[in-house]
Amino acid sequence: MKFTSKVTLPCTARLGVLSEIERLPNLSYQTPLLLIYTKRGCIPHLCKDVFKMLSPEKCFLLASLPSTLLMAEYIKEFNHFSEYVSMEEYPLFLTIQDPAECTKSGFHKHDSISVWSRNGRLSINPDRYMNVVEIFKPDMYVSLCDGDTDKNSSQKRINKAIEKSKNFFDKCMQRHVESNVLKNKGFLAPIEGGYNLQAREKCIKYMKDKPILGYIIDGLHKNGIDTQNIYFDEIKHVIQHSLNLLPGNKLRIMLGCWNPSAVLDLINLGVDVFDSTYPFMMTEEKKALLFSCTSCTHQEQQFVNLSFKKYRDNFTPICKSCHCATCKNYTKAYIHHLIQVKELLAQVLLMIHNVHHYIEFFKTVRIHIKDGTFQEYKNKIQSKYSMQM
Amino acid sequence: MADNLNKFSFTFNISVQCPITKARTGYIQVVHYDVETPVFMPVGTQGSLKGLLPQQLEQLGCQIILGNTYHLGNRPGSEILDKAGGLHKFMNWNRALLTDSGGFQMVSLLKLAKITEEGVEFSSPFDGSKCLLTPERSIQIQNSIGADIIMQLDDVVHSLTEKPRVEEAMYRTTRWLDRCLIAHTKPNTQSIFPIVQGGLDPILRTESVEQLKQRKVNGYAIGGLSGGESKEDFWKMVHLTTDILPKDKPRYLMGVGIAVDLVVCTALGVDMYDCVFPSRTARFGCALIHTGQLNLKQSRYSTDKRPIDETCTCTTCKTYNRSYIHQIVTVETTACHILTVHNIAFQMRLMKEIRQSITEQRYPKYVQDYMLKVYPNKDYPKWIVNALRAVNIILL
Ligand SMILES: [Zn+2]
Ligand SMILES: [Zn+2]
Repeated sequence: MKFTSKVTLPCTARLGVLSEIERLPNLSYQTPLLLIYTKRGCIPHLCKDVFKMLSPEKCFLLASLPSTLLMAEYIKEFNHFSEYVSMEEYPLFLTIQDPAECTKSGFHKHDSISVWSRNGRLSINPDRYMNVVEIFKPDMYVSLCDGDTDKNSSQKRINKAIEKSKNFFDKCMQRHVESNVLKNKGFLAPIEGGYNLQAREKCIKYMKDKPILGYIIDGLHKNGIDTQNIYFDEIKHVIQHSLNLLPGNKLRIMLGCWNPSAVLDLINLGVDVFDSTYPFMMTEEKKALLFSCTSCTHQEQQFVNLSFKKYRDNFTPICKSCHCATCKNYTKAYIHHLIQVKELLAQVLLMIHNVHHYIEFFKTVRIHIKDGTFQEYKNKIQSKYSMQM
Repeated sequence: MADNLNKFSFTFNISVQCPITKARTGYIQVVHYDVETPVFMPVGTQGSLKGLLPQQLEQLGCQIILGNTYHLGNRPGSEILDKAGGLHKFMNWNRALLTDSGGFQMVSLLKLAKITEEGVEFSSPFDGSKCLLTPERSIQIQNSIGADIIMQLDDVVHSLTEKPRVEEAMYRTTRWLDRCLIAHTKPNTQSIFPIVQGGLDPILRTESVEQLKQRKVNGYAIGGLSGGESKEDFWKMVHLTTDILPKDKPRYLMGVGIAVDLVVCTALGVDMYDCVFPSRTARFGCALIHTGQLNLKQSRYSTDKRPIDETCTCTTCKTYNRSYIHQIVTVETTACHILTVHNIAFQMRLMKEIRQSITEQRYPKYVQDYMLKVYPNKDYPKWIVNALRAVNIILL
């Protein structure tokens, strides 16, 4: 897989292209790119034909180990993960922890990390991990890493995370280049180090000259919905410092439930890839996103919570200018009713709107970067968040 | 003008009558859709069908779905439904709708329901207050919902109840029908179906039909069956009822939806069915196939690379393998959706085959082949053999 980016100035919003995907050579993706979150191979609440209706484009999917690791013994009988879950037309990125699930901290050993499946804790070392990767054959993946750090992590924990991740990286890298099924897949290194600049620098120094596709800037949060509460100002110096040191021609990925305002700031610093955990988490909270709409009367709102009783007789769509199947066909009153009576269609309709809204958001971002109007767009959207920030 | 509307709000056309059995195929023309019969109606209790978009239901070939008055009357309630302009608009369903009366739900869901001449008395499950569902109130709610076909409130008794109570319920059902017809405010767009009662007693059933026939209605429901009686009693009651109901009006057999029952009862002259089973069983991880159902939770499917049904053309069978469905079943909501898609597709395909074989005047042969497929060892249940023999089909 190949990544090309024109802008080489550090810490600016940039456009790029991901291409030469071995399994799907006709597809290419512009960055800033949105990966579509999946769990157990499903886009939550959406079966494949509904997802196809939501997005005719072949989105880049994201899967993680906690919900998929135990499927490996069955996937072995198939060509790869994507075929097993019947999403073979879509490229797949495999990451370690589930960005939508709060990762349980602790349970560290020096030669493995813990992943929590439905059946409990699973211990994974680089060899077991690479065995799974060879079965899954994702189009892009990251070496096994220890991202169990956040704002509050001790120096000792951060150092352990870095040492383990470096060690794991070497082992995974070796198997990557030796594996016929993996060597042409996109391979990424983790950048760990919590909120500690020296630690980040140390990790980057180790990783920066490796022959890889790019980096995941990891170890800033422990996943789950709480990530949306992280203010950009808290991480700005860490990200800026890291991006300044990282080579400009490599892909930079930041996973997790970042709020849209933080995503805009991260794009502004040159982060290339995000995922759709945020619209999924909002769906679980019965919220419908409005933040990127700039044409309706709900201009000030980031979202509406459709479980509120005031929507019981509101017979207008979530957003009049939205072209998704939910807004074209259903009213807030109907979705409110479905939430009240706990019908699964509520989440289906919210997910269609929220994921559509987020895909459109990324499209708009790319257009504004291309047109040189990204700053204005960013300011306009962020003004909706200024009350809070 | 009103007369004109009245004329077109409901017509039933039989295009082909099977020359050997009592089966017939045709269509019911209601305000929202021309429904082909015999038809199976999936149940969308609260204004949605187990997470499927109305668009998906259309693609699956659903022509009419059923809503539950008891649930819809509680939430969203008549006020919201009136404001929305009815359930069709509220849920964005453009084809036909049928609603039950709420009576059956109430008696089966609420232990404390008490039936008087006035109506069904019950304590609200929300605040415990005393409520009363009268025939008038049921029709009022159903008028707000606005379904094309609506049901009279009937006095529901279990099919195994003692005769005096069954008799009381049968006569009361007729009295309640008259109150429903008087209370009905939208006869131009909605048709009330009365419900034939009388338990398992041929004389009471015949009397019930005779009384209902004297009222001006567009179709009839066969009630009080499918509640634990023996299959032998069941088919005999259906057979008797369709013999005496007017031939030119549709017959709706309530709560029946298992594949072999649909094949048999169609031969006995039934035109409409409903059942929660196909969508409910999907929720528990079961997929319908000709010989019964697959419980995809079972570990034997963990390595099964085949689709649920190789002969099925639904999007689920065209897309997913059993092994993967086994992994997500009862864990991901998506698994429930894809199983519901298959199960509805299964019912729709069966009904389409039934209609087609009646149209092509080969229904008896179809029934013989179907039963042989389901019972390849010819160990046919006795009731099926007897029921089909009553309409001149001898199984192979
Ligand atoms: Zn929308
Ligand atoms: Zn199928």
